[in-house]
Amino acid sequence: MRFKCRSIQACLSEYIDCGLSDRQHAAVKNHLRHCTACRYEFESLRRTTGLLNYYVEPEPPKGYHQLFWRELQSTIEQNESQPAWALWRNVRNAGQNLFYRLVDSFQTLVGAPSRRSFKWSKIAPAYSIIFLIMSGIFLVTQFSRAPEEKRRARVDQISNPLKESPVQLVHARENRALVAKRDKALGLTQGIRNRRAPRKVNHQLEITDLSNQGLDSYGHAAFNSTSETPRGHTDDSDVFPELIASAQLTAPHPALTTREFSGAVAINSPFPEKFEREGRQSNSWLRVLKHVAVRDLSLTEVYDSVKL
Amino acid sequence: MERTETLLVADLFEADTTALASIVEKYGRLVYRLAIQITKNHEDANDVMQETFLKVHESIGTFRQESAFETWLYRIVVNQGLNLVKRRDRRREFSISNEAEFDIRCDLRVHNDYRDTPHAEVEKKELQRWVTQAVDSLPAKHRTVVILHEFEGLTHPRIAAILNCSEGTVRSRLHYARRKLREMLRPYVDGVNRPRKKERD
Repeated sequence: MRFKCRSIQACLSEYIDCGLSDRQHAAVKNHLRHCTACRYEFESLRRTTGLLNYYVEPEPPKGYHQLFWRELQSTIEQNESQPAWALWRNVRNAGQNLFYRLVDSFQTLVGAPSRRSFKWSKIAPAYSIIFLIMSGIFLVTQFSRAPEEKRRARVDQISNPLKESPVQLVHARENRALVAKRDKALGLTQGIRNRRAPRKVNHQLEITDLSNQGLDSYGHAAFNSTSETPRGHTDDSDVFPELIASAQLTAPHPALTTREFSGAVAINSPFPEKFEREGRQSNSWLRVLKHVAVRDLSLTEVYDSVKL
Repeated sequence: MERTETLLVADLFEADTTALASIVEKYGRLVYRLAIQITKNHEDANDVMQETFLKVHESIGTFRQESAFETWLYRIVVNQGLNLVKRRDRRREFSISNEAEFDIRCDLRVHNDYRDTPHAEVEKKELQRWVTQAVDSLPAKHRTVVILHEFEGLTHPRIAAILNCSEGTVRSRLHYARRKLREMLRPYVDGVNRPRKKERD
């Protein structure tokens, strides 16, 4: 079958209905004059259409329409006798109207209408719906996170200053091997850098009772993270040889011998920019801890106790 | 005085029952014919009619008058009919077989102008049976297009508006339906001189 015959036969149905343009109609007519196969196709389709006159149109039984109207009337009366039904009908109609308006509005928005028919009032509902959905998503994501989780995230961010330190980023850019080393230490795989492995709290810090060294009447205890550094900071000592962070407890020294500690804690960090970002100019931080078990007293605990 | 369609619709908005009565009187036959052609069954057609006019009465508030009332009515009937056919086909319940249904149709129909010989009458009845069964055996979507185009005489754009699809879809469905009907009515269609295989190729 030739390509032309195929395209002619595809539009024979429209040719029968006289739905083609004058030019197409003339082309098909001309083709049919010469092509036997297409002529047969056309004749058979036309004959099929003609045979449809023999279709027996169904007629309703005698008196059906009167009976139907009585039945319909009684159904309507029955429905309308229930006030809840009428109310539901009105609400449904209003809802449907609103829905159609919104659909129209979206169609106007999506369908890139011509400038003449474009009206801001038409697309305003669509925009407002989009705005509402976006606001809903924002609010849900903001408030669905538990405050505790949020606090943890902030503390985590602070207790890992290396993660966001610009100094480290400069180093990272300079030395790829160092980056790989850091990723390994932080539990990051090469493929998934953004997903951090759950951090184990393993901050067993050395707590030195300085009260015997005659610092002051209260007695100061200092602990720092250099003796046994937290996981993730271990291999960064070559990047930051100085102290990662240190904390100083200010409390009567007997507090350290009891099971609980309450008192002020001063935190020093080598990253002043971290604190500047939080709105502070100094690199030290003073917080008060209340009833923290001495065995849990670690840099993480100090950070965790900070309420931002 | 007979009310115009616009007035009838306006009265329907006011929940006027007489307007609904006029609508039923005016469009009842048309709705029934379309419903029974889609559903192929009197009981189902009755259900479709009930649902259609109840919807007209209750949801006239949602009629936006962007299209003609008749188009809106057609759309309701077609949607109700196709939904019912879909549900029924899922249940695979047929109250009357095609043949019995056809006999009922023929009995209901009064052929006053039929003056042919008994032999011709039998042949004609046989042809009617073939054609009716062929149309009824088309898939519901294609049958609806055939009914709206061939029996109701609606144009392609109007059918597209009723079925909520493109004109191209209507054309392709109609073309498919005609080809399918031609295969089913082959003995009658072959009266046309069929070209030899060589010529066809």
